[in-house]
Amino acid sequence: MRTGIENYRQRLEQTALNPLAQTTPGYYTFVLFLAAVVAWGLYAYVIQLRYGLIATGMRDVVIWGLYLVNFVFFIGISHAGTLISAILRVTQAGWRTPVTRMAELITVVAISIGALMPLIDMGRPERVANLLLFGRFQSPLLWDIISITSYLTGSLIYLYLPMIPDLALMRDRLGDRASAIKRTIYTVMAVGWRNTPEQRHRLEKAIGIMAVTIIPIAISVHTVVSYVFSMTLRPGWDSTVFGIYFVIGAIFSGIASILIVMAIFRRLFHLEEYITEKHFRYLSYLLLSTLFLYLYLTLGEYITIGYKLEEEEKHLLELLMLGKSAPTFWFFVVGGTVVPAILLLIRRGPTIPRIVTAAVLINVGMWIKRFVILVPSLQVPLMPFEFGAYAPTWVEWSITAGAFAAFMLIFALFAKFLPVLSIWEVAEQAETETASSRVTEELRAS
Amino acid sequence: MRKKISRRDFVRIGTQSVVGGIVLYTIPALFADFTTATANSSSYDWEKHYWGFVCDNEKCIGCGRCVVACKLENKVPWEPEYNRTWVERYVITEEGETFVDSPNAGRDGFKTEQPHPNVLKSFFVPKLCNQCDNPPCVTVCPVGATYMTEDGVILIDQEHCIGCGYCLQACPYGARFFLPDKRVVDKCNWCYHRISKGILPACVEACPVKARVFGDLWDPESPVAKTLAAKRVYVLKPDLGTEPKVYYIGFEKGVH
Amino acid sequence: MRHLSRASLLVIALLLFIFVGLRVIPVPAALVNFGFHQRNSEENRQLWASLPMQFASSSVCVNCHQNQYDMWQKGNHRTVNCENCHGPAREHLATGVPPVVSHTTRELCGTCHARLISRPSNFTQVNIAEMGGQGECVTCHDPHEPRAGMPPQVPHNLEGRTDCKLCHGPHEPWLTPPPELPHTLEGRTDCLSCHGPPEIRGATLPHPPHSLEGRTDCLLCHNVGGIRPLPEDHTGRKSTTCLNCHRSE
Repeated sequence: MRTGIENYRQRLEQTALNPLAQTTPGYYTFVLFLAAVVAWGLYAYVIQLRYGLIATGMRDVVIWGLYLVNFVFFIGISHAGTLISAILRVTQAGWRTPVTRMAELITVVAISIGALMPLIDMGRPERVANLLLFGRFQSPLLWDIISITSYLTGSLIYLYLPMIPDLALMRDRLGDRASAIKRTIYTVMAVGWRNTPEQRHRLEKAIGIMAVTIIPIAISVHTVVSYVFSMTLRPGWDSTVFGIYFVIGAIFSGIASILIVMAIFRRLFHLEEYITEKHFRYLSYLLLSTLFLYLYLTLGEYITIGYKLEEEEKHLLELLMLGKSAPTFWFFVVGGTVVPAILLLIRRGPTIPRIVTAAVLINVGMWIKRFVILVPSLQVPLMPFEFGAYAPTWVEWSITAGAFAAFMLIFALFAKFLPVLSIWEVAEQAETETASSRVTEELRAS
Repeated sequence: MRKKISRRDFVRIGTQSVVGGIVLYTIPALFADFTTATANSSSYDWEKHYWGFVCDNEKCIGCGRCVVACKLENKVPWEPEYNRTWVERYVITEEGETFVDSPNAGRDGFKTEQPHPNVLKSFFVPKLCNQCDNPPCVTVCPVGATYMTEDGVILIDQEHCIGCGYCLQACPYGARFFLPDKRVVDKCNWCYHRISKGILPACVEACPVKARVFGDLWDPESPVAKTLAAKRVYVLKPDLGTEPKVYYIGFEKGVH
Repeated sequence: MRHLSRASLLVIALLLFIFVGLRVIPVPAALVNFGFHQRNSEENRQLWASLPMQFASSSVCVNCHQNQYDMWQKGNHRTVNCENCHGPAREHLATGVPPVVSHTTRELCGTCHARLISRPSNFTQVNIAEMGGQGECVTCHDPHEPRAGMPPQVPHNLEGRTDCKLCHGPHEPWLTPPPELPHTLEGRTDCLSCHGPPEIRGATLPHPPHSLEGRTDCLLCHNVGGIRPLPEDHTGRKSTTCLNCHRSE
């Protein structure tokens, strides 16, 4: 038994550390491609800086467009991570261990990219400091800033703390396979981790505190993101359900993102032994339940405004269900909820591709859903004579593409410097499982 | 004799004093913010006036001279999508349908009839910033770049605005717009440079049929106060509780 | 739990410090709060208040243009301020250059007076495409006093005129025929057969007032609905009997 665990640990370390030491040409090509897309996005932003927001499709009636859609989307998938991993940690779900690192990483990267989006959307980005110097608490935008920065800080800490033992491991094990600079970085970041019982005790306590702290912060983030909309008098936004609606939507798309990221790393880094079908199945249960919650909230949202049918909301519903926005709206309903629900409910065919297909559909659907929440509400005329028109320009699409490429690029770079698997936790979990199975065997024997 | 402090106590006392210090430091700052009032240097005493506006839909002929005057007076871009004030045309058919249009925001007047048969009635409605007493645009500004003056006008500090566009969403009347060159928000301020010198706003000067009336709500002799005393008036979207200060005579279902 | 509460207290205090406390240091005194609207900047208000005016109002124009002003004051256009058509006075006042804008086009008149169903019915409206032929409105109407510049009063010289209906036509109900005219113009197309030059109207038709010597065609003009229609108690009478009573003195 003892040797079994040792073997397992050795194999695990090798699998997890291998990608850090070896780099394939395919990887370089991929990173270069992503970097090119990011550069193109940056070029588009330079164009926007030069000509102002007139370079975008946003005008006075529809003043917020793709950037804010991306903002809500990225903040949404950022929920995945830290919130899920924290909830699973607090509830001591043992199967979480191979998933947490990726989930937390999604959070940190998504929230960094997402937080940039409103800044890109500003007409006067050079005055961004005004937000801190003259920030008004009465404005929902300030709530966003406070809660997103708290979430980013918390998530960074929460990502870093469980990484310390792994950093120490890399400091000790990688040896010549890593360059001198990398080794120095690992040494510094490992902050003298020697795996003593006292260090372990402290680390676990710190992680525990962070896990508990991060949950309310995470919920506050998407609540105030929704408040930015629901605090105004716009049809479709003027709703009390928006806080929880956005939080559930965020968890929904977040879990879908974890599933996608898991599948990709499982295949690329050969983690089949650690990320098994079980993980996909468990997460798919969570995904299905949030899907139904989200569907329920969506239904409640539209049935309450559809029953009363105030004039402006009537315009909105017509636009959504029958008008110009109908294709996007119905794509969200069918492609983003109904089809994934069927895929998750009817368990035919190979599990992982089935679940991942559902997850991809859900994320596409949720991006569209954010578009459907944002743009048609703005299109409904305040002055009754015209419906607002909005067609994103190439600048907006380029910046959006750049943002998604940057998201993937940071992931790719991270995976080259740090293990995407929480090695020590996976090993520990394996030990616990072996121990408990031994106990069970002994109990059975007696 | 030195008392020994344990590390736990040190951390506890340290945390308490840091938190306490920060809170204590913050309180006077808050008070300073709210109490420092700045003296008014010009001869115009903004505490003695409270401006109001009346639009008479029954008189408006839809000539659009107000829109032109506003653009010239306030250097608003000439393109029809940038307007501090605009004129809408309502056509109500015998079937009860309401059609609204505003070609070029009314800048060039209304040249052709709307193509709807069986017109029951039709009229023009001039629109501008309502200078609400309870302005939703001001409350949402993240940097306090828009504010209400003592005389009841909402102004925008364009040197300070970050151009986030949040106030555009918040305004239920669509009065605000984005300046393409300055990249900040702009809107009607009732020609603040004119009214603070005792002169009428440019659109009121331009109106050939006196469909726009401007004056001091606090002065019972002002044309606005007299109109409000004599006529039954209405405001746009009163249910929102924004307390607009632009009053309308000759209201009709479907106008909002 | 104690760790937790202490940590969160610290976070809250720090946030409070950053967003409220630190803010006081860089923010100038002029930008301070005012009620719950944060940045009621006196500086900025002064900036708005000090912007230059473009429109001076008619009471400034009168200083130099007394004649036009007086005429304008008397006319129906007295509610239309000078600068509404002439453009803002700022340039003109500063440089002395005559106002570039002299809108005398049919289009400008039409912005107010083109017939639209949406305009109040008591407001003067015409069919702007047909009113007065294709010339500019100002050829007949003085913009300062639209009624003053109207064509000559009736009776006026009719020699060579072929455009009677330009003025006397039933083009708009509001423009009732001038009271001097003794008959309605509704539906008439043959003005010159009476009012025209001798070649057209025939030698027998005189310019009114005329002598009655030798006349036998009185009812040509003095019929019911004609010029100076015969009195009611004359109905049924014939031209031939007129001279029995009516004679030139």
